[in-house]
Amino acid sequence: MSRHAPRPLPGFDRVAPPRPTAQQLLTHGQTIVLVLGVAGVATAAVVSPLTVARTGVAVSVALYLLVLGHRTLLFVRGARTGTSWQVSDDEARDMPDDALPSYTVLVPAYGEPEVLPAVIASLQALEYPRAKLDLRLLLEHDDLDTRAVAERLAPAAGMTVVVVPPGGPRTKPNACNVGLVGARGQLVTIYDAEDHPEPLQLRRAAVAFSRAPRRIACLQARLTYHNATQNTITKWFTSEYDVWFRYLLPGLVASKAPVPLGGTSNHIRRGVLDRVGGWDPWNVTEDADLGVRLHRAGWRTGILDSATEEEANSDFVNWVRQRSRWYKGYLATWLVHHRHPVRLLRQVGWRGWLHLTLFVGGTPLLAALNPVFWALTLVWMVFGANAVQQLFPPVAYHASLLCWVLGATSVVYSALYAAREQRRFSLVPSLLALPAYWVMMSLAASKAVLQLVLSPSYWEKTVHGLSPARESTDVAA
Amino acid sequence: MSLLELPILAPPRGRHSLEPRRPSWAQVERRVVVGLLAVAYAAIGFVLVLRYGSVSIDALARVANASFVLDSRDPHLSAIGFVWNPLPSLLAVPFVPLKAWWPALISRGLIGNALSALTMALAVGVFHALLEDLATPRRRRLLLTLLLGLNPMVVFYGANGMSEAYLLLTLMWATRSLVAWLRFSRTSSLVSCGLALAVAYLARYEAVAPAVAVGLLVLVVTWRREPGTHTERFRAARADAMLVTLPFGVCFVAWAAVSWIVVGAPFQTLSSTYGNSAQVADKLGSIQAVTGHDLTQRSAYLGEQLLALAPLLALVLLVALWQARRVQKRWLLAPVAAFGGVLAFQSLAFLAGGTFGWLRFSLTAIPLAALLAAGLASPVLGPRRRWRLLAVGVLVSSAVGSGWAMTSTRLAREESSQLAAVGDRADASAGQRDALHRFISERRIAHYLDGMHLPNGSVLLDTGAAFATVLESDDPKQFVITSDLDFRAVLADPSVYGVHYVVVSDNYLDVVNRTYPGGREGSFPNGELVLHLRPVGGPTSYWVYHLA
Repeated sequence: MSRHAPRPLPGFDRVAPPRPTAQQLLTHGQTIVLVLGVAGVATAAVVSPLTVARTGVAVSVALYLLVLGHRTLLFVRGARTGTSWQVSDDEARDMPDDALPSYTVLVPAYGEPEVLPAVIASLQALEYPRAKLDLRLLLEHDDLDTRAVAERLAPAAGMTVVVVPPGGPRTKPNACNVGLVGARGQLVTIYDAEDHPEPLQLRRAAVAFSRAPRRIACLQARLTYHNATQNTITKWFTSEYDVWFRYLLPGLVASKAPVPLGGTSNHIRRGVLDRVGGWDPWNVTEDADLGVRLHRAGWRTGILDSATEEEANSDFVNWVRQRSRWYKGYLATWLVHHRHPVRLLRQVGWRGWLHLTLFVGGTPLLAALNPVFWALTLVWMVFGANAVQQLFPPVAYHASLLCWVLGATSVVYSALYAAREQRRFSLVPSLLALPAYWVMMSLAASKAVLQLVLSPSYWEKTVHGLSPARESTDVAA
Repeated sequence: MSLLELPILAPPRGRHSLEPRRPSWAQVERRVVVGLLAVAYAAIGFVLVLRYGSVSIDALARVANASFVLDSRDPHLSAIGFVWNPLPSLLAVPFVPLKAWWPALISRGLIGNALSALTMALAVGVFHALLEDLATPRRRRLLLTLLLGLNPMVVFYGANGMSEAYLLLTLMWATRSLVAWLRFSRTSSLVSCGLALAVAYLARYEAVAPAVAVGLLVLVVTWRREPGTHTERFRAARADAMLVTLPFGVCFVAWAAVSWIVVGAPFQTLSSTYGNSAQVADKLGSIQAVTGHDLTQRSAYLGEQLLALAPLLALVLLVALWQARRVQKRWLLAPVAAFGGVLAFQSLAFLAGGTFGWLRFSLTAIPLAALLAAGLASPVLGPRRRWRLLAVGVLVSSAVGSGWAMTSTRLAREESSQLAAVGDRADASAGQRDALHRFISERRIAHYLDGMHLPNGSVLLDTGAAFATVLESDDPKQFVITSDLDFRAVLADPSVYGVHYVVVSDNYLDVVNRTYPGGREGSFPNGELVLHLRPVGGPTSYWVYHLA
């Protein structure tokens, strides 16, 4: 765990790192609890290993039931209409230019000079008055290739290039925090270097904010993939994103739960962002962390009915790296927010806490537990019921069988439903092979747990540009 | 929100809202009707059992399986049995501990009667809700609902604890969702239908037929409805068909897999010695004597049954199929796929000689006729003056015909013998008089053994034949029964395992009988005959041996 403090920049200390931060993953209190817990389990394991195993199995089965039941609940809630903010094209364009708020768009990039022309073109396509738009390209100081291209293309496009000085953690949230310094927008949003937001998105967000109650501090737009049919991995990934942004996230909003934000296209009121302390530079899923922090501070997130196209990871290794970062970040986020559990409970309530734990904590945890139970299932099928049944307390045995069948079915079924509703029929055959996707997730989760212990703030950069390029207009170089 | 108004069962109406709404008149009416019918069916069931001793064998067997899960020497969930589908027994399991409070609930199978009463009442409730969906005016809606709910076959199968009630409820649910989907194309209705078909399969295996029929219907309808190119239309149709059949498919495979893993055979109803195929094969002579020896005779027999249960079925079916050519009337096909599917399956199986041909196998003709008649009369299809009367006529004739059929010893072998107990008729046949005294021998054996206060595992018997003994006994743990994991071992060598008594019958289902055929002649290895019961409540004799 690196303990470098960022070197202060002029104005930077106005955006102080939020507390709590993932720079130090566990507090002293948490470490003591963890050590005691591990010691306790180890002692019990020596005294009576079967009891420990059975308790572990029983707890895991209960967790599976809760998480899967929770997911189904969210899906059903999210499937109802009226959970997202709809702004029609006419309504978006009707708002006069001078009524529109100023907008800061942060675009962090690292080591992707070839992608820059495309993202600049996308940003140019945004329908928003230039005078009110503050486009900021955020680059690391040692990323000379990208800096060179940026310095050539940015001025003509009206973009400011912000160079992140050395000394801080090499993460996207750190760059975003730096990018905020001197930014003048009343609303802030982030786009990645490979994003293609729908041109009216900023206008839609502005109109929605003007209609929404003050408490809504953040609007999350939908992310989707332009290379959905490239290969099986992208099909699975696209299906997952559809389920996430069209059903699970709206389900969380409808349940009044803390909403972990998506990596980009989250539109936030600048004043609120400052007040909650910006992004945590040490958290690799700073978006999820910010979402929880906003909720704890009393602000709410809504869903904006507008889409941003991204590129789905089509390469196995790359996908596992990206997913392990997400899981690591989710676990870190959960740990960080549990520094003062009582305070957390008071701020989000029991139900909010359940939503938070089952969703943010449960997702990576279950993915990490899966291989254990898959191994047990194999033993069960090959060697018969007796070999395995002893490990399960009476009710847990049938509960876990039920969980396996119903849980797997419900995940595949909900993906099928989403594909049908969104008319992505070409995804359907691949969904029947979804269990293979879960194997990939488990690989990523195991990696994540390992990295959480060894290097929690290490940001595994996702390689982009692996898919056939989307049609885009080239900015004249 | 009541069960009938849960979003999963009800097709969505307009904007969803999480705020509770005051119940509408239709909802209140429905709740009252369902409540009254449930109480009525249960009361009739209880009277039949307690006052007249008229018990349905299958219903009691389901309750017995439930009690074996919790109350036997070797309690485990797979005691639920794999010959019949598990839902009816599973639903009874939580109530088994109530035996301590009211023994008859389990030992006489009253819980089965109570559950089937509630289920059948709910099925009638879903019919009422479907009529409401179809904008049927209040009075006609109530009248048709009551005519269905008071149909003698419906009443009987609500009262007697058999699993037909579960099938009717789930298929009614599936039909309602399917009608909504055919009318409004909402995918959530398709999901609801899919779930209903899955639960239907868990109740009875003949739900395979409607699952396939509905799948095909959905495939064809989506193919014709979807805009776009051939590929797009095909893919959409495939997706919809998958949505409606996947839950059923998972239940089918999962149940077969569990059965295979636990008892070594995936489809016990076909392969087991207790299963349908074996029973039919054994009783073929007596079946054919009544139902006919060849296809022509069986067709005539089946025709008579259908004509009795729903006299105007052919008429409404033809009219509905003709009307369903139009897109906006396509929803008339929903009951045809759901209930018609089961009816077709049962009829074909019977004509092929593979079933007993019980009257209840054609039970689905009644809701089918009712749904089609009510559908044709619904205002959604336009002003239907002619059909208003005809719908009532269909249901009335069905009620009258069913009532008559149930008293016929030829068409309704099971029902007439069970009802003979009530009539106390002088001209009752031997079979009907037997029904009055069903399970008397088995219960006598239970009392005899209870009196000796034997330790656990001292009595060997096969519950395929003598389940009523274990149900009646105060100490079920004294028995080593078929679902015990060590049954085979104990059967091979009883004295080694501490068995003191063995119960043998001459029932062909009895595995103890088949293993030790000498038991029927009065001899058992190492055993001395202590009790011999001649046939009383059935054709079965019992011998009880004490092992040295």
